Amino acid sequence: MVLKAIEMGEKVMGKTWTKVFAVAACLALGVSVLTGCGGGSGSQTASGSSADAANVDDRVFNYGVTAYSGAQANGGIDPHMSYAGWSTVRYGVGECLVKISQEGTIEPWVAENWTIVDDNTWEINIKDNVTFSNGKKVDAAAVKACFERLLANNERAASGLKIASMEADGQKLTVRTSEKNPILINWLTDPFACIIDVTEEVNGNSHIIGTGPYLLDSATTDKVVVKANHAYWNGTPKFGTVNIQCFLDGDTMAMAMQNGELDACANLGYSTLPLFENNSSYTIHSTATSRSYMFTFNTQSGPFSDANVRKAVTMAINKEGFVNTLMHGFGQAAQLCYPASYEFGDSKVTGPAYDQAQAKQLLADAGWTDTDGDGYLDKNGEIFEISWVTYRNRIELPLLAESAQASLREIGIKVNIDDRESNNVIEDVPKDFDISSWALVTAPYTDGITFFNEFLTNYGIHGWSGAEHDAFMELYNTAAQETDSAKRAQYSVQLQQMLIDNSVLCVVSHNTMNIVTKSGVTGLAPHPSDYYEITADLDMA
Amino acid sequence: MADTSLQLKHKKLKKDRTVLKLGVFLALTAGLLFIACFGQYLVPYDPYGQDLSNALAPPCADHWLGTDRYGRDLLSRIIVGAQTTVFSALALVVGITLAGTVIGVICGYFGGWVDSLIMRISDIFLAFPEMVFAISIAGVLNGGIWSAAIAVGLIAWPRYARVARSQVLAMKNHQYMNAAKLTGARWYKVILKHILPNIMGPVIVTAALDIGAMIMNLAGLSYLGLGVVPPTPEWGSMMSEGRSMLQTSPWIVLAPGMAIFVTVVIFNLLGDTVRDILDPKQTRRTAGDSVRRMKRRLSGRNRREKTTV
Repeated sequence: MVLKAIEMGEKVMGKTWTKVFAVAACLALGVSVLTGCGGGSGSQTASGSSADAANVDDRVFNYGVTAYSGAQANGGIDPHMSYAGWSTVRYGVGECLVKISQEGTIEPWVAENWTIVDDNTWEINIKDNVTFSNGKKVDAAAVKACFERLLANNERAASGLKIASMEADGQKLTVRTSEKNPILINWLTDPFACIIDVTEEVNGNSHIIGTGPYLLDSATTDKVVVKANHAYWNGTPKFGTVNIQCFLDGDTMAMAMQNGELDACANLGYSTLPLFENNSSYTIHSTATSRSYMFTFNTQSGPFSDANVRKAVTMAINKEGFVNTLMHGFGQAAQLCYPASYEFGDSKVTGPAYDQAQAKQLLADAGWTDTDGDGYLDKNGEIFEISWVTYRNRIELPLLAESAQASLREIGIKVNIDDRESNNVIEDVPKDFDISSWALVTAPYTDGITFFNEFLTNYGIHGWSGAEHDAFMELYNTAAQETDSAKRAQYSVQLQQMLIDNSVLCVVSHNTMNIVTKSGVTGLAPHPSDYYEITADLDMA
Repeated sequence: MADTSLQLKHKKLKKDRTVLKLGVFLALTAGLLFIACFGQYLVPYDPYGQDLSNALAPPCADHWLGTDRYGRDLLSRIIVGAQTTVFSALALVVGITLAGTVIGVICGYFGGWVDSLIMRISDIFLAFPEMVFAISIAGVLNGGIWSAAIAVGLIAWPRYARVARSQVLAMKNHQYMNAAKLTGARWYKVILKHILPNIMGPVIVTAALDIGAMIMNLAGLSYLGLGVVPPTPEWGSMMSEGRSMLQTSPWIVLAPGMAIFVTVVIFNLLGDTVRDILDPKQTRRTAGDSVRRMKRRLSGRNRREKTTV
C-alpha cells in the first residue's frame, strides 16, 4: 500500500511537472510569436558610419526591395532588356540623358542641354565631364552606340522614341525621328534610355558599365550587389557596397527591417507601416506618385461588352474605403489616370460616384436580375459570374480584388479571383479573363498622353471597338502629334473623359510610395517618378 | 495469478474513467460537428459581408473576436470556416483510411509481387519529407482545397496500408483463418468476414489519431496559399490573411489559430481515448509506468542480491 501510495504520488507529481512544463512551453512559444518578430528594432546598423568614412570601401548598406525579382523577369539589370532598366537606374548604376525633377519638369542629367531643330530633328549636347565607371569619357558617339543597341533590343523603346537616324559629332548628338515626336526628350527619361558603355561586354548579371555612382558587382534573381564607383563624375558615393535584397513577401521584408538586417526598404505593405510609425529608430519617407491601381474590362465578349454593365461595376467599387482602410490612407481615391496635382489630373475629369443602388438599377436595365433568389444576378439562365485576374508583387493589388469581390457580391455579381505570381504572367496568358487589374505608373514621362499609347498597346482594353473607340483613337492620334504642352494637357483631359464615359477603365487609387530607413539614413527617399532611389547622396550617420 | 480485489477495483475505476473520457470527448466532437453543419445559421454576421468602416476592430461586445481588414466579423468566419476545415479533414481521413486499408489488406493477404510492388511504391512516398511533398503536389495541381486534400492524401495513405498489411500478416496463419479456407470460403469472404473485423481496431485508432494531423496539414497548405481560395473562410487561410498584421492586430491571427488549436486538441484526445479502448496494448507509457518498471527491476535485483547473500 505504501509503495502504491508512493507510486501514485510520483505519478501525480510527474504528471504535474509535465503539465507545468507543457504550459510553460506554450506560454514561451506564444510570447515568442508575439514579440519575436518585433524585437531588436534598429539594434544593428550599417557597417561603418560617416564618422569613420575614411575608408568608403568598408561601408556596407543593406537595402530591401520587392520590385526586383526573378519572378518579375528581372534576373539582371541590362537596361535595354524589357523593364530591367528600372533597376539599373534605381540602384545607381545607370543615368539617362535627362531626368525628372521633384516638381515633374525635365532637367539635364548626362546631357547638358537640348534643342528642337525642326519637327523631326533634335540636337542634344552631352556634358563634357561625364565618364563611365571604367573611366572612358561619355561622348555623343558612345551615346549613339548605346541607343543603337537599345533600339535593336527593346521594342517599347523603338516605338516610343521613333528614332530614324543619329549623328555623333564630339559632344553633340543629332537625332532624327521617323515621324513627329514632340515628347522625345520625355521618353529619354525612361530608364531604358540610361547610358551604358556598349563597346565593352554587356552582361546584365555581372558587367554593366554605366555612369552612375555605383557599378554592378553581381545581379542574380534575388539580389543585386553594387560597389562604389570611385570615378563617379558627380560626387562621391558613401558606401563601398550596397546590397539590394529582393523580397517576394512584404511581411518578411518588414521583419528583416525590424531585426536590423536591412538599413532601408522600399514599398513595404501599407498594413506593416504602422510598425515603423512614431518610432525614433526609423523614418518613413513618403511621396505621392502616379503609380495607380486600376482594372480594365474584357469588352470583347461576355457581360462587359455592354457599356452600362461596365459602368455599374465601376460604380459599385468603394474607392474611398479601399484607400482609407486597405491602403491605410497612403494614397488618393482616383477619378481616372492622373493625380490631381497634374494639370491634366483628377480635378479636371469627373467619374461616376460610388452608388450601389444606381449600379443595381443599371444592371436591371441591362436585363440582369436575380430570378432564382440565390443572391446572384442571372440573364437567359446564366449566372453573372466573372473572372478577375490580379498579381501579388504589388502587395495591395490582391486586396483590391478581394474588396471588389465583396462589393460586387452586394450587387449580385459573383467574382472568381485568379491570383497570379507577377504581372508578367498575366501578360503571357490568353486574354480569357473578364477583368484584369494593374499597378501602373500613369505619368512616367510627366506627360498626359503617352500612357494611352502603352495602355492601349500593352495592357489593353481588350476588344473595345465601335464608333466611340474610333473617335478616341482619332483624338489620341491628334494629341500624340501636339507639341504644345498646354494643348496636350487639354487633349489628355478629353481622352480621359472619353474613357470614363465608355467605362472601359476604372482607376481606383493613386498611391503614395514609401521608403522606410533607419533613423540617420540620408539621401534616400521615394521619387514621384518612381525611377530614382540609390544615389551618391545616400549616407548614414 | 488472479488479481486482488484492490487491483480489480483499480482496473474498473480506470475503465470507468476511460468511458467517461470517451463520452466527454464524443460530446465535444459532436458539438464541433454541429457547429460545422449548422454554422451558417448560427453566425451573428454575414461572414462574407464587407464593412470597411469597421475594419480591424479589436474584440468587443459587437464583435467578440474582432474584425479583419475588410471589416468582416471573425467569429462568423470562424464558425462558417469550421465546415471547410473540419469536414475536409474528416473526408480526407475517411478516404485515405478506406484506400489505405484496401491496399494494405490486398498486400498482406495475397503477398508476392503485388505486395512487393505496392510496398516499394509506398516506400517512395514515405521517402519524401511529408510537407514538402504535399506543397509540391498542391502547387502542381494549382491549389484549391481539393488539390490540398489530394496532396495530403498522397502522403498519408502508406501509413494506413502498412498498418493494415501488418495486421493481416499477423493473423494470416491463425488456425481460424486456415479453417475458414478449408471450408471453401472465397478470398473476399475471408477478407470481409474474418480479416476486416479483426484489423479495424488498429486502423480506426490510426485514423482517429490522424484527424488532428490532417486538420493541421490542410490548414498549413491553406496558410501557404495552396488551399482554399478567397473569400471562402478557412482557418489556415484566415491566419495567412492576417499574417502581415500579427504585430498590429494580433486577434486576426490568434482567433483562427485558437480554433485550430482547440479542434486539434479535441480530436487528438478523442483519438487517444479511442485507442485506450480499442487497442489497450499500445496505450502510451506514462511517467508512472516508467517509475513502476524501475521499482520492479530494483526490487527484483534486491531479491537476487538477498538470495546470493
